[in-house]
This record gives sequence, structure tokens and C-alpha cells, in this order.
Amino acid sequence: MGAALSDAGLSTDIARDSERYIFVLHGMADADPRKSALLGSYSAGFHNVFVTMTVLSAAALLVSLLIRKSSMDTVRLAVPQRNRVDNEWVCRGTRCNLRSLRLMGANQTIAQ
Amino acid sequence: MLTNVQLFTGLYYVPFYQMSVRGSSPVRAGIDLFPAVCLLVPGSVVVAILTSRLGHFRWAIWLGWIVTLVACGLFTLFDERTEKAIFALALAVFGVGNGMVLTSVNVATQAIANQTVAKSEDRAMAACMYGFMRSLGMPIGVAVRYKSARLQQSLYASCTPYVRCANRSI
Repeated sequence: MGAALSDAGLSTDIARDSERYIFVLHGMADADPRKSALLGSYSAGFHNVFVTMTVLSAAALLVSLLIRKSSMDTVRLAVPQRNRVDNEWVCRGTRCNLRSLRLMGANQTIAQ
Repeated sequence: MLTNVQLFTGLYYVPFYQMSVRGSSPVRAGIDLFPAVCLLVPGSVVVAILTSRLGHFRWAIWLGWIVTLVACGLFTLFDERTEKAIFALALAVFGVGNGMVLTSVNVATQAIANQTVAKSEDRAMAACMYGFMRSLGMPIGVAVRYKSARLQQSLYASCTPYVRCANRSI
């Protein structure tokens, strides 16, 4: 913006205080040649900002390509009750066997 | 952090651009920002639903940045004669793109932490770090960029012969 102001023969101090100067700009007549020069300077400054934003986006896109593939599956700390497989010891006399149980619901138990 | 730097730079400079170059009032400049802010959250929500349904998140980050890149490219085409519809379209694209990136990066942080970090409390730290970096991006987007913006850089570059600048009147 400062370069554009300098080229138009205007004070570069405007670029330092560009927000406040908007209100001065609004008070200027449309036919004032300084106003069109100032608007051109503001446009040039904003163009540079938008170009910087574009470069930043492109850089972020390139960096995001480095992200490795990861699973979104979560590891549960507590075992869910439904479809849980439990084992129990079944003893007949002196012989004991391990029997698998699948808990299907709150009240259902199916022996496997 | 880059996401919020981008977002807040846009949210700061676009109304500033409207007020200076296009001569809008502050209220009008705020209203003109509606396409971006109104599509930011829906963009986030849609991406959150899609990533949880599909089980993949990288596409959302890439697509989000591509959309943001297109929006910033459209911003560079702005001049005093740009139609309001094109302006609104560019802002809408900017809002959708940033919304996509915001959510997908959050999902990515948690998914990556879930796989690479051993302790569960470190996963919480990763999520907190994401929030911290986002918050850090906000002031950088507005304050630091303003101070070191190209506006200022080009000013100092053109002001090398101080005498020449000082002699010029407004």
C-alpha cells in the first residue's frame, strides 16, 4: 500500500494508520483525484494481503499431504456387555471343564 | 493454527476492504460478511457427519484447504468494480472451506493421538493442544499479521528515502 501511495505522490503515513483514514476517505468528494489514488493504493495493499493468504493456504495444503493415514476406531477401556464372551468352569464330580458363554443380552445366555 | 490465522485474517481484512475500497458502512461490511460466517458452521457439521460415517478424515482436510485456496484466489481478483454476488460467493466458499478444515483437523488430532500416544491422559493433552493452537492462531491472524502485513512491508520498502516521503503532503 505504501509503495502505491508513494507512486501516487501521497504520504505513506496513511498506510500506518489505514483504518482511521477510512473515515477521512468517506468524507472526500468522489470527484477528488486524491480519493481515486487512495482507493487504488488500498486495493494494492489488500491485493498483497490476499496473495499472502493464498500462499498460506497452498502451504497448508502441502503440509496436510504429509498427514499419515490413521484409523478413527476408538479403543474402549470397558468391555461392552452385549455379545461379550465369558468363560466359566463347569465341574462334574472331580472333572472340571471350561465352558464359553456368549452374553447376547441382559437375560439371555447361550452356551457354546 | 494456520486455519485460524487464515480465518481471522479473512474476517478482519474483508470487512476492512469493504469499508475502505467499496465505501461501505461498518454495519454494511458486517452484513456482507454473512455468507462466510453462516456457512462456516454448516460446513463443519456436514464434514463431521461425513468423516464419522466414512471413517476417514484426510480427504476432508485436503478438500477443505483446496476450497480455502480457491476462495483466497477469488479474493485476489477483487477490485472496486467487483459485483456483490461474486463477493458473496467468494466469502461463502471461504466459510465452507474453513469450516471443513476446522472440524477435520480436530478429528485428525484425536485419531492420530489415539494411535500413536500410549497413555490416555496424553490423548487429552493432544486435544487440548489442538484447542490451544487454534486460539493462538486468532491473535496471530489479526494482530501479528497486521503489524507485519505486506501493507506495512511495502510501506517501509517505499519509504527508504525518508526525505522524499516527508516532503509529500496528503
